[in-house]
Amino acid sequence: MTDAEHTSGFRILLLMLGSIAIISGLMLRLYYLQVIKADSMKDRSKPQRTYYLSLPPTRGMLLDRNWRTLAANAKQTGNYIVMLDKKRSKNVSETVRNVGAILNLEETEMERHITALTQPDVKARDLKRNVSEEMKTRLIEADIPGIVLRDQPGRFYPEGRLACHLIGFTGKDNKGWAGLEYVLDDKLEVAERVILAEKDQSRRMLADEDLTTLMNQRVDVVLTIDSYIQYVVERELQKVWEECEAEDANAVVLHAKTGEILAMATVPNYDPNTYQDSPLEARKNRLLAETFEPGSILKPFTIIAALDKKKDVVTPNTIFDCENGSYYFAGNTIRDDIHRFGKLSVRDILVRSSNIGTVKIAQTLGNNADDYKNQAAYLYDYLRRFGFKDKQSGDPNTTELPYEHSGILPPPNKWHKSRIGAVPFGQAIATNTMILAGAYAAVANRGLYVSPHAIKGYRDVDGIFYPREQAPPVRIVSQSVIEQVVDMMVAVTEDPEGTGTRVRIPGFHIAGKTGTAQKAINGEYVKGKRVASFAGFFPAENPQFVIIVVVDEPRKKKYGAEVAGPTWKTIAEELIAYWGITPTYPSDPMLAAKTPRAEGKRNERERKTDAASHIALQLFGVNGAMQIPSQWHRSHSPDIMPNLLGRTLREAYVELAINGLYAQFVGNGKVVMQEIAAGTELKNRQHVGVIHCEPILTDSGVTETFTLLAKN
Amino acid sequence: MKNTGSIVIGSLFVFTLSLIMLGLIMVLSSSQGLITSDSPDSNVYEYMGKQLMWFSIGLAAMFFFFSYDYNNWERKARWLMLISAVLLIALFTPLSREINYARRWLIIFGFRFQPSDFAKVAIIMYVAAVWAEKRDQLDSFFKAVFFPMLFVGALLLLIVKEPDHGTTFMIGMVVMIMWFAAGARLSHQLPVLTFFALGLYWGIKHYPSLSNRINAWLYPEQYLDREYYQVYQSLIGFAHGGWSGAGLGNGVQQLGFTPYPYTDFIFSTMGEELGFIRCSIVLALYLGLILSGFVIAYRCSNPFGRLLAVGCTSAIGLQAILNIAVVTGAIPTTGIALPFISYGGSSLTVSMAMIGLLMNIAKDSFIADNVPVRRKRIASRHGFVQ
Repeated sequence: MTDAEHTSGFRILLLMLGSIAIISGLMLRLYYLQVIKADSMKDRSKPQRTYYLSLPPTRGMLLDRNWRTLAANAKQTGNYIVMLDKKRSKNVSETVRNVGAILNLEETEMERHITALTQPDVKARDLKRNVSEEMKTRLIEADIPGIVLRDQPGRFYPEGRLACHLIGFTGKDNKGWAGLEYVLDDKLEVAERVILAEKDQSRRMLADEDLTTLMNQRVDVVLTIDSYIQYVVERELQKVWEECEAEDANAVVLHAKTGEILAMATVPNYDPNTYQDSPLEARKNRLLAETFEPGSILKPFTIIAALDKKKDVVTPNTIFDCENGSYYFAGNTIRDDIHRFGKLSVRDILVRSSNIGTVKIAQTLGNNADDYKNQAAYLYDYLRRFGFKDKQSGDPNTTELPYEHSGILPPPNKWHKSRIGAVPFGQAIATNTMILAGAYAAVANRGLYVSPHAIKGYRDVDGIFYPREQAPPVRIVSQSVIEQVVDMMVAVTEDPEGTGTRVRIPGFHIAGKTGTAQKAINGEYVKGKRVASFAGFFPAENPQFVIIVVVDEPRKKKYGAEVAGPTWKTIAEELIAYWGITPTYPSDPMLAAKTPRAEGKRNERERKTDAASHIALQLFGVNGAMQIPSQWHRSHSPDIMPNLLGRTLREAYVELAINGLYAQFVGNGKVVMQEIAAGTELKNRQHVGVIHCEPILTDSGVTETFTLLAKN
Repeated sequence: MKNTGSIVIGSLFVFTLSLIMLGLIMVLSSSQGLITSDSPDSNVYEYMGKQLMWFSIGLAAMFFFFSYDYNNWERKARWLMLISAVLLIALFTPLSREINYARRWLIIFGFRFQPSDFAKVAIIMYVAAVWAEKRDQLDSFFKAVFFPMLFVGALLLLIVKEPDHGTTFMIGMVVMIMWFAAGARLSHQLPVLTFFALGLYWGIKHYPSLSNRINAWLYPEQYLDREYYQVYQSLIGFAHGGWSGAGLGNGVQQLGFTPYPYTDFIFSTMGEELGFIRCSIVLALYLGLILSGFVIAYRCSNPFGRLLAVGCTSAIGLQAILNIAVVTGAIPTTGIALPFISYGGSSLTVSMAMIGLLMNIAKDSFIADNVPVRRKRIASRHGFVQ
């Protein structure tokens, strides 16, 4: 090896050492950058990577109890927002003035925009909302740089008129103007939010899960309304309103145990999507905003007061003299309209709806018949317990809904004696349908008052439901007293002499009361103007639903039973089928056919001897005791197809088996469709085809809790 | 000694392939920022696919240089120099287009190709051949150094004219290292280095693009929006990566903030997405590559092979060091790609060819360890195969 070679070998070793040194140096440099200086450098990237993003204001949705959308968000057609983007505008004040000239903005307003826009952290600003299509075209033609037109958010009601009075509507500013939209404005409205979002070099937003969540952030309100029941109620009201040529008609369906409003409707109604086109009268929620004298449907509460307060004096069988239809009291003559009665028991006074009898019962509340001060005090006390209100005393609203007229029920010290001759049967007192529904629910619940409400809870974006806390039931009257009154109210629909026999539904005991109130205009009762109503609940043994139907000024028909009764019955029948309520006793159309009042009256003598009617009397609890048969009866002749709709699969199967029939069952739950219609002759056929079943939700959980509460 | 030979060749091959594979992944990961909602038709795999194609060409080049006896290049080096000169001159004809104010690429049949990459290999071979031959006359500056190097200087002048100062600087450094390894006298090398430093100073004074780069490096705050922007973004990227990195494809700096994150500044993306620990491993891979190259040179008793090995190793190592030093802000911007990793066809092919050359030298020197240097060279010159 030469010297040169040796040198170069040594030099290559030097080069190797050199590269080790340099690479180590680079590693140290890397360590310095990525570890030591990392924190301070990272912050420097923030301003270039992030920007303030403005999320447009939005609103929570309104949903029915099954989360069906009742009020949703949508773009407003023909309504735009004009925004100025500072980055694209060369001269902000010039742009504002150009836009102002087109949109006719005021000088002060333009000044305000310019001052706001000159702030360094303001990137963009809305110059005007509610810009019309025409203005939009003019702005586009003017072609001002930096101007952005956005669609204005708005509200859409996919179900149209459904529950319009309850839901209300929003105005052009997307704020609630009526109904729940108005009341829940704070809860629903999500204001414009400015957040820090990530972007790339070209200002394009980077996808971010959190951001997506934030953009959709809102609280939806779940209502107690059931769209189907609401639909049925509105359909039936429309029908009765048109048939009877009534002034207006309204109805409430309450879930008895919880006080949840399943449906509440008033006709005439309107479409909130085009509320501008509807008359102001139609937009008014008459159900709450207008009061009426309830008439006879108030009588049960007078009787409850007497039975509870004067247990030793008044029992269901106590006899009162009904003065043969005419009773002079405190300067007025009280009359019993159609029928004149002699001596009647308390039960019959309610069943036949005697005004005189009810006043007499109310009189027992005092120390003697003339002690009207005490009578007034106690009657007032009991009515207050059932939720009747006086607007002048400043009582709060019954539900969450606004603009309620809570009624007229002055404190007892202001009562003139003559009121004792009117309030007991529902005159000289005013209330609204919702309050009545609450009062009837308290009867249905055997003396536990639950306040009616329309909001079930809230739902967040992730679909998690947060139930709204509801006031617990309050015991207002003892259960035994209510049981006696419920028996009487069942008799109203089941006793041949009862006023409410039209609403009978085979298979169910219905507790109800008819009402035909006189209508006062400017303090005078006007002849021929009436408020017809029917209030009731079922199944009477374990009430699920309270239904109140009120028809104001029917011109074609007169009485509560004939005007409101059929509507009530249809709603109840739909509820039975829809909710899947199991009949309390086997229905027998043959038996039911014998009970209508007209027939019963015609053959009064026969009725007493008729064995079938005798059974009917026992079955329908006319004697006060309701019997629930413990075994299934053979209720159809084997050659006629029984009605299985609404029965549980098991019940339907038993029903068929009893009759020696069989079928193919599809699905589970309750029967929703049978191949052969009920009542069809089977002609020795044994196989009755396919029976379709579907699971139907019932609030069994709620019922159980309620039972516990009731026991305590 | 055969065993050591295969270990060195094998590790060289493994280091290279590891870096290339990592490079393919990083090219894919760092070209994600180009795919946006604005260009829905853009292909996510476009850059990686092209790189993969170049990789297969590079693989062919590597195996060619591995199997072709390197001693043949000693004679062919002059001709390669001439071809390089022609290609470099072709840059100033319509065969080339100006991209980013520079004529660096020849476009032939749609392929973009940098003649300076080719010239790099040619110069290394030429210099190795010259000094292997004149290794006994190295004491005479003009005879052994000045006149032979005029040819090299002419080529470098063409590269400077493109302009491509970074590559010129890099090749100049490689030649200096080769001279040093060949056994230059320090009394020769130091004045030459001083002369080059003065030349560099003159260049900085006269080319504002150069002086701006230096100033940006010296006073970063004043040049944040201009010359220093890319480096500044790169440093933010490193800071973002930290110890363990943001994960592949999660780098935010490549979303338009760091310009060209898949070519010269790909190491910044690596710093952000892989983190300090993995980047240190990458540095170690380069170090391993350099050391293997120098070990081959050290073991080679053939002066041409030894100088060739030193040249190839220092070319690859210098590029890696310069690139990483630039990206980490340690030196002013030079515009040199990271070998094996940066997106770019000719750079990858030439780097792989040089690895093939190194492997060939290793094969020869480790096997023919005891063959006398002089005899072997003469034998090969006359076409005798050992």
